[in-house]
Amino acid sequence: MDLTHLIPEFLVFSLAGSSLSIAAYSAFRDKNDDQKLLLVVASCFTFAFLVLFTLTFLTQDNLTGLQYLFASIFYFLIFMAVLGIMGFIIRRLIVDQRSKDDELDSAIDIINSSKDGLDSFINLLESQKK
Amino acid sequence: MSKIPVDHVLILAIIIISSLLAVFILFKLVYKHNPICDEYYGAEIVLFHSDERYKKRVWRFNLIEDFKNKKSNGKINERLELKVIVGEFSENTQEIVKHAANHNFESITIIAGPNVFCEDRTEIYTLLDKYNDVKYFILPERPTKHFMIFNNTHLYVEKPHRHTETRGSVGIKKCNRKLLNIYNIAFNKILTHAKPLTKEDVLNQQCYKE
Repeated sequence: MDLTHLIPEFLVFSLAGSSLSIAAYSAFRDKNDDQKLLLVVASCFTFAFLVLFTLTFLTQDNLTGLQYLFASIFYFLIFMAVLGIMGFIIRRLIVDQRSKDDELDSAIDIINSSKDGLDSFINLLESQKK
Repeated sequence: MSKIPVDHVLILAIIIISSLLAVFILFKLVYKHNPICDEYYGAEIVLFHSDERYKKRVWRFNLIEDFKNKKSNGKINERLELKVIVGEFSENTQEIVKHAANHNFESITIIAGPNVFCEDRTEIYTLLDKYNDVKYFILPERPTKHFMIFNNTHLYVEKPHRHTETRGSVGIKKCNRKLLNIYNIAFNKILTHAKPLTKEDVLNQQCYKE
């Protein structure tokens, strides 16, 4: 079988896979590890898409100058979009990490404010006793 | 099938096996237990938002059950101890205390403010009547800093709040010794100002009118 016949199917599969996993990712209300897994799966699909897409570029021949120009524009646009999706995925992973750090900060704030107030409450009790 | 050359089958097998391996590693990485931790505070810090009432309860229930399992396996020999300071001995606290009393905690000390919710009084009476290990103390003033210490290991701290509302809180597993000592010392100091309450006194305790 010729490889060029398989490429369109593979392209559709990888694109559908990445968009489905991103859709599933946004369906989760609260963030957890499942969400992270879906993001990783989405990035696998987009990688597969990029690899195939590069392959289609390598296998094409017999193009005139104008055709070649338009095909190149098309490739440029698609690469931009797919790289944009990958940027989105990486950004989400970074944002998750950052919100975890923020959580630690606010937890530490709560502990510190509670800890610092302990003595003043004890002093209040002592002064009332007198 | 006979047309497929052997090396194709081999390559397919390698692909399948390596992808299985990759998925396995991926799952391990993504689902790795990776808690927020900080050496000055504790091994696992969990932040609860004010509306996560269920999550807060389950987290504390799990701690209590862990201790019970460790005790029945013989990993812990000393008495299990629970220390609680709350604004009022409300329904949420009662649930935790009951759970602890049912799970081999032998020393439970509760320090609360002078008032309770009116509808809780009979419930507290039955609780004190049923569990003799539960010691209930009240302070002349409502404490503003609320916390729980689970067997001198784990700490649960609430954000200051009024009696009518709930706020966020923080749970720390395997709390840093220094930090835990500050809370332990404070607990003991506050205990000297508190007076014990018998179950009969509870029925006459001042209460918040709705």
